[in-house]
Amino acid sequence: MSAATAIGLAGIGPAPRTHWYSRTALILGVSLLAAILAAAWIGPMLMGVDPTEQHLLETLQGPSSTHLLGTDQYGRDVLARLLVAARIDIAVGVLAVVTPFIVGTLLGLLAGYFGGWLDLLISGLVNLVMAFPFYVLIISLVFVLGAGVQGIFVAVALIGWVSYARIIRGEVMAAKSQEYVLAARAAGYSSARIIGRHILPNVITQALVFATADIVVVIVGIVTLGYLGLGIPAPTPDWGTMIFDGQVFITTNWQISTIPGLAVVITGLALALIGDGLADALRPD
Amino acid sequence: MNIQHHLKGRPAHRKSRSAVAIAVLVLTSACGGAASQSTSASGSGAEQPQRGGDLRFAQPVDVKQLDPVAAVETQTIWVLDMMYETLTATSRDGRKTDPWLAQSWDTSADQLTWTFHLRTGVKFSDGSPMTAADVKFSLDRSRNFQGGFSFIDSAIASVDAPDTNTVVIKTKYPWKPLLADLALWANAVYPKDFGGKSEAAFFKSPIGTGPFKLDHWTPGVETKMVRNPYYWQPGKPYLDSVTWPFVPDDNTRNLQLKGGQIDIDQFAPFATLASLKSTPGIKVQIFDSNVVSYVLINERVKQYQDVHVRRAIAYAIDAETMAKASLYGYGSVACSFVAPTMAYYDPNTPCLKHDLDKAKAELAQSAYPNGFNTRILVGGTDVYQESVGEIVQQQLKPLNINVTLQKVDPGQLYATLSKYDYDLSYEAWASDIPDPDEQISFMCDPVGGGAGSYSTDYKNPQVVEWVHEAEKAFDESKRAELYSKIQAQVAQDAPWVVLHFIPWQYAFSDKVHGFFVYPTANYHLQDVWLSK
Amino acid sequence: MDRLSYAGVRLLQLIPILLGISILVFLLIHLIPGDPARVLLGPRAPEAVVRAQDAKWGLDQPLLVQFARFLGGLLRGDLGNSLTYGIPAVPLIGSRIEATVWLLVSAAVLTLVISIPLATLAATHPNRLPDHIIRIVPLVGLGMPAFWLGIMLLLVFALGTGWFPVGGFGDTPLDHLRSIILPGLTVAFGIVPITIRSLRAAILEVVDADYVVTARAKGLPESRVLTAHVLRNAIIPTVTVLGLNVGWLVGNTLVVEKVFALPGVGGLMIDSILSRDFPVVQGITLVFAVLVVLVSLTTDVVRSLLDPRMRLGR
Repeated sequence: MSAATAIGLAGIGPAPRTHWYSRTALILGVSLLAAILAAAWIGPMLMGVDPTEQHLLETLQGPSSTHLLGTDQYGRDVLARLLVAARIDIAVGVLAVVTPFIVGTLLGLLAGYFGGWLDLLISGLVNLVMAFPFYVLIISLVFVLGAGVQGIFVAVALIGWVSYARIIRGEVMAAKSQEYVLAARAAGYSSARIIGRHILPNVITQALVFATADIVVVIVGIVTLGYLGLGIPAPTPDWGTMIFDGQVFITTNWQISTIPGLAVVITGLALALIGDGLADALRPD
Repeated sequence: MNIQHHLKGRPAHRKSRSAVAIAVLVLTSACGGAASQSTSASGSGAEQPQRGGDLRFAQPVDVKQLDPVAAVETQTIWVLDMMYETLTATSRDGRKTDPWLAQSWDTSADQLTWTFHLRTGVKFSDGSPMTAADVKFSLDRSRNFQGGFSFIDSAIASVDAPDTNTVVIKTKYPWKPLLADLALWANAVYPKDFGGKSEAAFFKSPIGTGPFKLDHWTPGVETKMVRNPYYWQPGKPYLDSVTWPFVPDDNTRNLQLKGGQIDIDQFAPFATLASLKSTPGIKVQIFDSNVVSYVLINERVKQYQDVHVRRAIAYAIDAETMAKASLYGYGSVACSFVAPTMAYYDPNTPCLKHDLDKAKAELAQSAYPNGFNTRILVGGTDVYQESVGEIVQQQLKPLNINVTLQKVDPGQLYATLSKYDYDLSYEAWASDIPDPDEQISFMCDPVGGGAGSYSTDYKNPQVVEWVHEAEKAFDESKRAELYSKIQAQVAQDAPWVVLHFIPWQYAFSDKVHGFFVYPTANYHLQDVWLSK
Repeated sequence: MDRLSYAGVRLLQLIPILLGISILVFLLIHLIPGDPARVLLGPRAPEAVVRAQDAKWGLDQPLLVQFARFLGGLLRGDLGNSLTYGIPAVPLIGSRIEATVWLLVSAAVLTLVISIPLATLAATHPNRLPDHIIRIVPLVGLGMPAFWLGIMLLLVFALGTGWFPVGGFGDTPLDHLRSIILPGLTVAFGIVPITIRSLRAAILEVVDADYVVTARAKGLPESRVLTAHVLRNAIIPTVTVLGLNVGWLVGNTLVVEKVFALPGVGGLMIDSILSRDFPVVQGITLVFAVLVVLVSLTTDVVRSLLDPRMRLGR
């Protein structure tokens, strides 16, 4: 994903009377996400079902009283797997975004505030990374590091910081000429202090908004890796491999692939609503 | 199901096409009657073959090159089989070798000299006649090639062409499997000295004696061949052309077949066969293969050197239940490690049937009664393999054996296996020749077979001795006895767990007739015709 | 800075970028375990033969030497031979570019075709029902894996209705057109949420701007105001968004091409990585990089054409 997504998501310029929307979006998004998280962490405990337990004689069953969403090709309970998969997919999504967020913000701050050759260097690096095909990197890393989450963490860390850097840099450059910064400089505060205590709190919001969308992208990325057969190894459930496993049955038992797909979409929707609501709320009127 | 990534074996196709069978075909096609063939092919028997049409045969793996001697990948081999031919061919039941480009042969008394009499009137697709000199050139090239399957010709001492229709092959020692070896695709016949071109130029637009000739090869997209007007089987091929589109996605092939965009869907996943069968206009056919799947056990890993541990695993794995979730009612549970379609298969092999109590008892007798951690190696993108891996994981749990999946992509699979860098591994075997020697020496003779007993390091000296004896023996009953002993002993030693016999599964349009897949997986498209 | 010299500078920047990328890809692909010679020659070939093949390909040389040879070849326009197919990599890749370009163009066009009317509708009825629906529904597309959507589209619109072919690319340009719509739609769905958003916001910003008020005061019909002034200026950020996202777009082609069996560069990429076909992987990565930079450049130039206020360069 690139900075463009952030610009796109954040919107440009003012809009009339958006409070109603931003409040609704935020409330909807947060409630949805809370529901998902609760289901994922508490649900399986309440159900008392082992998501890895196979029942090879009860495969591919439809919804029933014992299996609310039916069973998969090895007779495992689909609902249990769905919820446990939520844990790892969401966790990876959030954690994977942390490093790029921090690194990108830092580099963006430096490039935006100091400009000059530092800016040139960092912007050059940004252009280089932007042109690098993400999937080549991630597939190669999976082969080098083995299947599992480490590949995705490294790949996202290596490439994902770019968007944050661009956003922050833009914001900092705009902020540099604002009154409060000029005043701080006139007062003789150190650059570090100005950046850390004055500029950062004002510009970080855009990056946060972008991060919500970024998490969705990472989750979709893990899921796509699963489609290519490079996802999180069994028996740990993961939405991507559930969709991958269910592919064979798309023309017969389409729900096996569709349900985890919907889970991804709904989670993405929750996060996007939050991001949208935040963006709207934070936009100056 | 990309089992074809793991097909190994010597490519000795015994394409048995006896003269009688051909005569029957010719007569029946001339009379327009139903050809009732020894093993069934597609299409209703009561129709007369029609000329014309382009057959669209989609495959999940692409054709990688056009040189039969260098070809090692299955789809490439089967496609090239339509352009090039060999002296002998595998029979329809996969157990014998039939005459093909060679019409008959004699063996000397000392069994070291074989004289082959070539079929007359065979021409290459450019109209030039095939002669013994072409055969000598091709076989010499195959023997001397570095890599591929050239080892299959290691028993050959010399090849001579005393006259245009006779080829004399001398072997270094008495070698019964020679007929089977000559059916291997690597021993295909092409013009002497590449018809005057350089090797590179020849293989840009190669010619052979096969029913079709190359029209174009677009790597990564499709391969197309057109009818060879000079083909030696009268009236054949019926088709005007064959196109092999490369469609790696199983679902896309499935939908394309249903939508009429392709005529044949190669290896549609077993899980989808029931729904395909019930789709109007589409037929599903399961062809006998010689494929057997296993869980290999690496005897370089300490605990697996103990036969009790291996037997415990063999008893613990329930191949029958596994079959339900991975084969969906197709194929069957295997007992002997040799397929039923192979010569000398022994149906009475005493195998270790699933029994959890016996498994625990065996483990208790070993040094690891409380289980241990281990890994199972599977190829990354194959649904059937993954299912085996995941099910084995679960089935070994009661023994406290904790299995982690070791997934590698196909590019690393061979390397990982040959470096013995695994504990347990899924693998499958498909023989390329009807003679069991290829498989048995590969799997039981660590040195002679050249593969460390399929990378398990299994060495039972008695078994190795039997293998050597059987190779050299010419007496059928003697060979049968030896191979039975080998199958029984292997079942007791449990160097691997035998899983399933897996057939070749195809789904195709009901407009396709005469389509038959040999146990060695290749097909003869000259027999295929399309109805309107 | 005038347009020509700006374009020139940007094109020059291509060189260090390509160099950087070549080094990265080269190192990366050589890090992956697995031997292309072993893949080619099969499991039965003796070790000695495999090593001989590696030597023939120069794969036994130190990395620096190999990279130097690669660079040298690159300057001559030669990427070496595909290790899998044995034919030169340049024509192999070249033959596949057409399908990928069709896909990218189709995705871009469909994105605009969907976004513009919807965003306009939303912006002209701000904060009322159509606006809310149009803003929320496309968010669904953000979290939708492309391959899954592709299969669903194939099931419904290709197989179900027969309007489109089931995957493949066809032979004639007309066939290409029919074949590229569903894949283009699949890719577009991922970007539409973003373009609708930014276009809507941009329209809202512009609609009250001075020159628009002036136009209205002059008595121009509303539709004319919309197309001539509002849209023209609103398109700028949208084009920016599209242009900057091209890297992601291009990455997505990998998966979409696989699902729809399109003979493009993305599908070739996956197979090449799996078979360790170094020259082809390097070649395709470079092609992607060039594509991304060129598209970036083009969008910037187009932006400057559409926005007379914008000055190129810094």
